[in-house]
Amino acid sequence: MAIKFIDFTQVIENSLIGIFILSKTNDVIYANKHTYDLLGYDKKETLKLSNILHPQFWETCQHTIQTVIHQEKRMEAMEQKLIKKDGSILHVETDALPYKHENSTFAQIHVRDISKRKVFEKEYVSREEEYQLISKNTSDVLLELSEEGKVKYISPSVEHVLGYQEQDFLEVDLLAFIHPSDIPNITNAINSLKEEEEPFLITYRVCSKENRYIWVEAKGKIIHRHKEKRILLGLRDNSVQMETERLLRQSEKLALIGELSAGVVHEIKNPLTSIKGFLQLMQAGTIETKDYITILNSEIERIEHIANDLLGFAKPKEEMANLSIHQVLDEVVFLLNAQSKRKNVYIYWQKKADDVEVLGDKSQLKQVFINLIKNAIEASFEDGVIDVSLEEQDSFVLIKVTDHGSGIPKHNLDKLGESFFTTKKKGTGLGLMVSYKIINNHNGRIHIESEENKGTTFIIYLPKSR
Amino acid sequence: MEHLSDELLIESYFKATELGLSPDFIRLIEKEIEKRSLVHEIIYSAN
Repeated sequence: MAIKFIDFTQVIENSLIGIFILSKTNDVIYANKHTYDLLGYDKKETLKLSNILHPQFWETCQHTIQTVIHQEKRMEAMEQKLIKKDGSILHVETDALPYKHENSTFAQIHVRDISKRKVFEKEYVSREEEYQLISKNTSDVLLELSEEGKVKYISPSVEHVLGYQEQDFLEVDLLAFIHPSDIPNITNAINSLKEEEEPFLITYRVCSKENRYIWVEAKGKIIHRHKEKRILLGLRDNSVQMETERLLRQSEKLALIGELSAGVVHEIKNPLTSIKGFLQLMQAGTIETKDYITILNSEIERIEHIANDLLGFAKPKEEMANLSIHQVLDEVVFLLNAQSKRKNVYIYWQKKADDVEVLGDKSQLKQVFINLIKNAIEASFEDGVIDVSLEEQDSFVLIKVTDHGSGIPKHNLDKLGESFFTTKKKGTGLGLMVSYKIINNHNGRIHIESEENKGTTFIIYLPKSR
Repeated sequence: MEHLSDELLIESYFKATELGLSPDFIRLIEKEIEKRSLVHEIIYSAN
């Protein structure tokens, strides 16, 4: 049905925007129902601008009204506060435009309630403040990387943790801040993350603003944002834990040396007895001296060898280098022969035709092998045999240490490597845990196969160096 | 010890016992003699 005539008075009166007309002298000439509703007045009451406008806005409002009326200009969207009848404050947005009637010009004001928006804004601001507070002061740094490894976002806490400003990192390749020896690790972790989307946890060193390397632990996972694949990294300063781990390694090593020393002293005592005896024979003068020189030499060399081995192991120096697995195991087996002989256990060390190299810390890896072979000796029966052998599998070298002792019961197998778990009378339960940690730090793993009454095999997987 | 000739080893054994050197030393020589299966040599010579 077409309507020829529309009652605009009705349209304005029922509009859900507050509309009112002001005269030059600030009198409210007309106000629609919604204006009254917004302000909480009854339609019969008279509205006075001085009552409904918040004093804070009086002057700007006067200026606006004058501009509208005298220059006949439209003034758009200003935020203001009005006062309701009950005294409460109403946040509104107003437009003002000229309304002409015969020869006079008035100001027509449109009022929209924005109190809900104000609440949201307030909430947003306080959220933003909370976020700033957390992201600046937390000891975690959040990073977002593009697939190419460029930093797209870094949380402000980077200043607190590493001393940098956020801008120092943005659009820069993350690897630029990482210790050169840790780069292959990270590249590997990120590559496999991109392929398998499996979250990772690695530790590495980041260079701080003061040019000091700080150990951090990083969790990485893939997120999808802005239609792009991004890598989310959470870094945490890990230096205290790393230092604790180093001290634990060191103290376990000292304990190991203590346990080895009895065997080592024994190993030194034999050549000493022999040297002393032959010296006495020489003194007696009955035998040509030069016949004995070679034997004295070889006995002294034996002492020297074992002393060097023990010293080399005891050194607290920690550094990564390319190591020959043959050489490391030769030294370990030599040192432990002293231990195994006392129980009449034979260590059968079967080398491979070709030596294999791994990147690692010699002293730390020796600690692992000594610990495992020493355990194997303890698990062996008198006159037993321990097999030490090598195998290669893809990019890994496998070092197997097998004893033929009584094996580990199934219910204990899962607990191996947990701190303080031990079945030995005088064990601390830390030796194996330290070994696990060391192998873990070398990006390897330890696998155990055990059968009761048959024996146990420890298999150490270490990545070959390329 | 393994660098001594058989002859010198046996000779050392007798000299050591004769001079009454430490039993540990004599035991070391005895072990080496056993290892080389020369035990009959000392028994024979002793007779």
